[in-house]
Amino acid sequence: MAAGEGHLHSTHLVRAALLSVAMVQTVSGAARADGMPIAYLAETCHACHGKGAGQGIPALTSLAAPQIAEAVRAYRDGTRKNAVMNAAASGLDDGTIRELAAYLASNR
Amino acid sequence: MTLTRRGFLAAATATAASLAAPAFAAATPHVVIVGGGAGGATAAGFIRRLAGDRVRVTLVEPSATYITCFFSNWVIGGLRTMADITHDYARLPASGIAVVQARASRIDRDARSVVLDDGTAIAYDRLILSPGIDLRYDALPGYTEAASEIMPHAWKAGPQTELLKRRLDAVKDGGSIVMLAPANPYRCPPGPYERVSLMAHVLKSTGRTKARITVLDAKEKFSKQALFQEAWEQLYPGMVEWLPPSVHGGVERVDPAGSSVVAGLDTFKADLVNVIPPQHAGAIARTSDLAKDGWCPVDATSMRSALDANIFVIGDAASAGEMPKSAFSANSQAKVAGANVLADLLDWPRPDPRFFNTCWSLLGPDDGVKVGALYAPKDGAIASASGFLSAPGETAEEHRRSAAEAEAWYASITAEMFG
Repeated sequence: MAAGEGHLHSTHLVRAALLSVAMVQTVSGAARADGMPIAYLAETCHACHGKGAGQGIPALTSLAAPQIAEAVRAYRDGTRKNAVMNAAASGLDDGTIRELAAYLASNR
Repeated sequence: MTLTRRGFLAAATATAASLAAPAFAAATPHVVIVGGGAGGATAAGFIRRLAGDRVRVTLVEPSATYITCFFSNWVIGGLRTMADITHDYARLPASGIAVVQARASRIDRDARSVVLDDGTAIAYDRLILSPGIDLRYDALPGYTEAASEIMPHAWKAGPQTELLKRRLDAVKDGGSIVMLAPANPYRCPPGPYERVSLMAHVLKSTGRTKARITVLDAKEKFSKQALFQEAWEQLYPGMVEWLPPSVHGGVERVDPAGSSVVAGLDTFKADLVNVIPPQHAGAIARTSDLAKDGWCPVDATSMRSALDANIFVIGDAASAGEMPKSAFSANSQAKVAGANVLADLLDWPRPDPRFFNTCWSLLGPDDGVKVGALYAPKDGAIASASGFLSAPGETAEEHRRSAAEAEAWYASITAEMFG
């Protein structure tokens, strides 16, 4: 995806922004069908980064979307080390990470 | 507020006729979840958070409170109290989850209903079954349910945890403890060895360093073996002995009255015998013909039962390929099953599953190690895609961080389960 990276980047940002707005506006905090895959992915984070996070595991609540995305990319690439997160982030593509970060930052 | 069976029926009189009136049932699909542990309680919350009022969710669980088996070794080790690991379902109804405090005795698969022990039937469009394990009292001669009062298993948390703790606290310096560890598969693969470590910690920290713990294992090797054996040598020298079947000759029977264990090559008499017996899926899964060889086969992409398309089986009861039976696995599987239930009922897209597990184990206070992996479907089975394991010789600071991760994870997963 290297050749089209710039284009994909902006597309994903717009998609992520629209997605997160749609998510917050639905009734009962419920996700919309088209947001399902990212909502599912975000839910997988909460087993660890939920209400107990802050001491041994960082809370995501104080982080903006770009910070979350940067951290997840760094864990995926191994430039930031934590055994659990290196495995948890493995195989995620940049677009998915941006959408995931946007979702996590907008649904707290 | 927890609905009683009667209250539930009163509240749901109209929808109870769903079987007779399929058109009505189609209006708001009903997801019934059996079992309020790490699988079932997680699934209930996940589905309501994502789908809101588009689905009705009913959780059937016989107990008003839930004592987590995960972290119960911390209680035995004196690092947590029973109150710390006891939770309830009081906050679930605020999330739109109907909690029915009753035992589900069987599943009428043709009628798509769960039958409670008083005969009440609850109709479902999709059923998520998370019944955990049952201990097998037919597998080890001499070990019956009555024997577990003398030789505690403590492999289901509750009174058994407290019994084992009391018995451990009564062992004298120079006394002996024997643990029987089961063959694979079983709940919490590193659990027996974490327990050995924390029992040794209790003995050592109370000056009973001449007490000895002997593990009679049914396996030739075990989870995180190098890490545990390193810790036993360094932290509890001379206190722990681990014997595989090639050394003890295989455990043949236990004698609760004589407090002894008879193995092929020796008989072991002890002040305390902790028997972790063989296990199988919770009874309702087996009696509903959803299990093969004791465990429930599932589709690797969705956790859907291989034997019934309307039922998903998650957690310890499922035969989930390379995933260990753990609370984290159950939590992860609950989200995969929940997403697929919503895909079935609401025609939502199916996400690619990202199964995940981490098993943290304590070697002593603030001293932890971990093993885990991301799992993905491969050739029809759930297989490890990217794994990790603490290395022998890690620094104390690395062990302290792993223990802190475990504590934060416990707080997060229980908050996710119980609100």
